[in-house]
Formats: sequence, structure tokens, C-alpha cells
Amino acid sequence: MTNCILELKDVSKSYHEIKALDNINLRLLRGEIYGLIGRNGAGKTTLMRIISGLTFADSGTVEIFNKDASVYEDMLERIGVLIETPALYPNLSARKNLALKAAGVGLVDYEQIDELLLAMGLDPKDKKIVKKFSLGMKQRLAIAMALLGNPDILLLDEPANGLDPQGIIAIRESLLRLAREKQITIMVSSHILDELSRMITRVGIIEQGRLIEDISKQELDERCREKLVIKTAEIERAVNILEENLKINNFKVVDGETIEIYEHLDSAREINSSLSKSDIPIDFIGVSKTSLEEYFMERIGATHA
Amino acid sequence: MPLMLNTLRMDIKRTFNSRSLYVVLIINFCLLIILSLLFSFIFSDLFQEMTIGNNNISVHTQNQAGQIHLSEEQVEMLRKATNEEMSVGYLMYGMRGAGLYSLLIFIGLFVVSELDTGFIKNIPLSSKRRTQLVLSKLVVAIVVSLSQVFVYILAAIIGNLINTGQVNFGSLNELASYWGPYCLITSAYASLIIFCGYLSKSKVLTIILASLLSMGIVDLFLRMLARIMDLPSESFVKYSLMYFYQQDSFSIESLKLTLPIALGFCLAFSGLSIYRARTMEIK
Repeated sequence: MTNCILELKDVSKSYHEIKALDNINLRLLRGEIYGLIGRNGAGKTTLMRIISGLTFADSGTVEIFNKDASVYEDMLERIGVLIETPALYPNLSARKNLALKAAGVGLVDYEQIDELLLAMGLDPKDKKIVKKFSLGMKQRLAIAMALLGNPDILLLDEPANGLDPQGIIAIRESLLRLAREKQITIMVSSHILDELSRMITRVGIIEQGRLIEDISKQELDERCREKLVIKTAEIERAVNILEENLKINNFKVVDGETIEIYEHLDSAREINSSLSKSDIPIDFIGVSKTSLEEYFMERIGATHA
Repeated sequence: MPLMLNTLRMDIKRTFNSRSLYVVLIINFCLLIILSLLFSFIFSDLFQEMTIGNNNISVHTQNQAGQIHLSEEQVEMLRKATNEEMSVGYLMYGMRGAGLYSLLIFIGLFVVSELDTGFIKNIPLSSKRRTQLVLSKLVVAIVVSLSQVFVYILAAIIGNLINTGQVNFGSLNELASYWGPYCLITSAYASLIIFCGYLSKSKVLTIILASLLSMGIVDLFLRMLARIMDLPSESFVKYSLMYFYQQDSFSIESLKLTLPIALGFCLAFSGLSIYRARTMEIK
């Protein structure tokens, strides 16, 4: 039995002359937490809106559990969404908002409503209307709304928006638990990349409607691993010394003045000494690790280069 | 089918959780009580004068005083509005305009608020579900309309009691034969407002349109059109919903025209609403 829960094939969408999505191909497996990152206007929200049926792709297909969602529309009932701002009735309480959705999805037992509210740090007995909630409370309620009905797929567009650090950690832990225990597949977008990197199992970078990167967490860690960085104006001579004198081969020349070495990370002193003896001026030598943020900026920059 | 029931449950729940519904019903209730008191204070005196003056009543303006002779229709109307003849049915007829206006405003805002707040995004939006959302709004319109009728009956009974000390329902056959077509005509109007709500997604536009419709603006244009075309004023108006709506009763003959036109309106605008709901992008 295939583990593929969600598959997008050649999905494109334009708004007038602007290509919002350009031939997106994507597969999500059961229990994955897929981090979708990109700049504002890159196409993250449009992608989620197409998957959830809020808007329609110009071309391509969305398959849920290997069934074309445009034909087997019941598949859409298995998705929970939080897209852009929390979508709530301002003059109803948290419980009443959830009760409405519960009625809409055929939930008769309202125990789940109270459990979800408690899990999100909201009081089921609180009669305060949503209009008087803080942004963080609205966001928590919106997440509870997405979780109501036990969806198999969760689409969360910036769920940490407006949350305090405690709230962000709580959301992260909830999502990790859902993926681990209930095998819920989650697609989450966020601008808080450090936080995102702590929970994802895969990451996709979207830029100007195109999916320019789609890699596993392991691959990402590999690409962002620690390295010894040397900055020098005499790259060619430095490379010769590394290869012939120091027998270092696992390195990369990044640009006209930067070398990244992926081995002998604790030999900075010796490398520095060898290069200095050969009169190679060193502007910088040190160990660094690329964060998801830096990796993202590099990829975006590379796309526009 | 369960999906449709779920959608209906959600909308009915929202209807009865909405403060606006109760505000509308309370306002309608109070208006009808006030109407019954007005009938009692104003029309009873006029009726006495008319009876004594052989269907003539005196009119006083700034510059002159005189008498006008009332038509049979006017006499009948005045008679029904007096304490002796006042009935629950007649009092309810007096609320038609206010009832339609408040219903259309409520339904229009009900549709738009689902889009405005974005709550619709929380519901899985297959084409089937989008169709059901429209049909569910029609059911809500009928439920609210029936709630209004119930409130009118209650208020009219109280009004009747206050004015005459007894309850006179009038002709029950007449009542039943009026309110059946009334519900259909109201549904036709509601389907038009539902379509406007989905089309414009704007509370302001929907309220403006609801106001214009219940004030009979369409009739005004139809009369102007007839005049431009040198035809009798009622040439086109007699096929309009408002014309049917303003009837005091429906004969078999008039129903032959009323029912198909109202049903046609209902089906046409429901169809348009469904088409719109199925193709619109939800922001």
C-alpha cells in the first residue's frame, strides 16, 4: 500500500499575466511534516489554497490518497486548513465557532471540541467572543479548528503567527506528536525558519511560483553541515597547498575568495600556518554552520544569479 | 445526503446562534403591536366618520377643508382595521413590507458574513459542498420566514387582545391560502439576495439591494418602461414579484400566474447562485 498521501502533478496557476505557480510537482508521504518556505508572494499560500479546494489550478492535478481530488471530491473532507488569517465568527465564542464546524463535518460528539480547546490552552467554558481575543488566542483557535474532525492532512499557513515563544513551542510539540502518533501529514509554511527546522522532515523552497528545492531533512543537514571557511584573495594557490601539501580533498571553492572545507575541522591552526608559510594572505578562517535561513537566502540568491 | 444534512445543521445552528435573528424578530414583534395600536387609534375614528358620512371622510389641508369619497376597497380596508373587525390575519398583512425587508437584510448578511469572515475556508469545499451551501441558505430563508410568521401570529394575537379584548383570527382559509404563496414569493426574493451576496461579497451592496427590492424599485422601473412604451402602467408590473407580494389574497386565477413566476425566479436565481458558488475563488 502506497504511503503517498498527497501528490501534485504539474500544477500551474496564473492571475492575469502573473504566474503564481509554475508546474509544481510534489509528493507528501504519510506522517511527514513538510516545511514550505519562500518569500512573500512566492506562491506558498496559493499552493495551499489549490490543495484545499479554495481556488482552482489552471492545469495539473491534485491527488489525495491516489485519487484525483477534482473527481473524488470527498477526499477534500480529509484536509484541515489554516490559511492566512484565522477564519472565525467574531461574535461567537471559541466553543460556538468550533461547534459550527463540528456540525458542518458531521461530528456529533462534542467532547473533541473541549479536548481541542484545552490542548490549545483555551478554556471551553469561556463565553468571551472571538472579537475580544488576542491574535495569539485567535491563532490557537484557528489551529483547533483545523484539527477538528481528525483530518489526515493538515495545511497550516504560518501557524506561529502572533504566538508567544511558549505558544510556538506548544504548537511545534503538538504537530510533532500528531505526525508521530496519528500519522497525520502536515504541510506547514513559516517565516520563523529556525523554529520550522526543528520539526520538519522535508523542506521545499518556493520562489516565484516554482519549487526550486525539495529535499529531506537529512539532505538539508548535509548541505548545512559544519565547515571550515577560508577567505583569501589567492584562491588558486590556496587550493594547491590544500591538495598537495595538506592532502585535503573534501572542499569546495564557493566564489572568487572563499573555500569551504568539510574535513579536518579541528585543524584550523595547521591549515592557517601552512598557508601563511606560503605567503598566502588569509582574510578569515573559522568554523561555521549554515542555518536554514542562510541556506534559504543562498538558494534564493542563486536563483536570481 | 449526510453531507447536505451536515451543511444544513451548520447553517441552522448559526442562524439560531445569531443575535441578529432575535433582534429582527423582536423588532417585527414590536412593530406589529405598534401597528395594531395605530389601527385602533387612527382608523376606528375614521371608520365612525365614514359610516356616518356615507363613505365620505373629511380632509383638512393647510389651505382648504373638504370631503373625499372612499372607494369600496378603501372602505373594506378601513372596516378590517377597526376594533370591531380587526383580525389577526389583517394585522399580519400589515407587516409584509417590514417582514420582507428584514428577511432580505438578514439573509444577505448571513451569506456575506460567511465569506467576509472567511469561515467558509474551514469547511472542505468540494463542488457538491458549494452547491449545498447555497441550498442551505434557501432553507435558512424559509426557516426565518416561518419564524417571522410565528412571531406575527403571536404579536397579532396580543394586538387583537389589547384592542378588542378578544382574538379574531379572521378567515383561516384566507390566511392559509395567503401565507403559502407568501413563503414562495419570499423564497424567490431570498434567492435573488443570496445570488447578490455570492456575487458581490459585499455587505453594503447587499443591504442596498435588499432595501431597493423591498421598497419596490423594480416596479417603479417597470412602470416607467410601460410609460415609455406607451402601454398601460400595469403592463409589466403585473408579472413582478412585488405585485404578487402586495396582494391581500390569492385566487385560483391569480395563483396560476403567481406560482410559476415565483417558482421560476426561485429556480433561476438559485441556479445562478449555485453556479457562482461553484466557480468563485475563496479569498
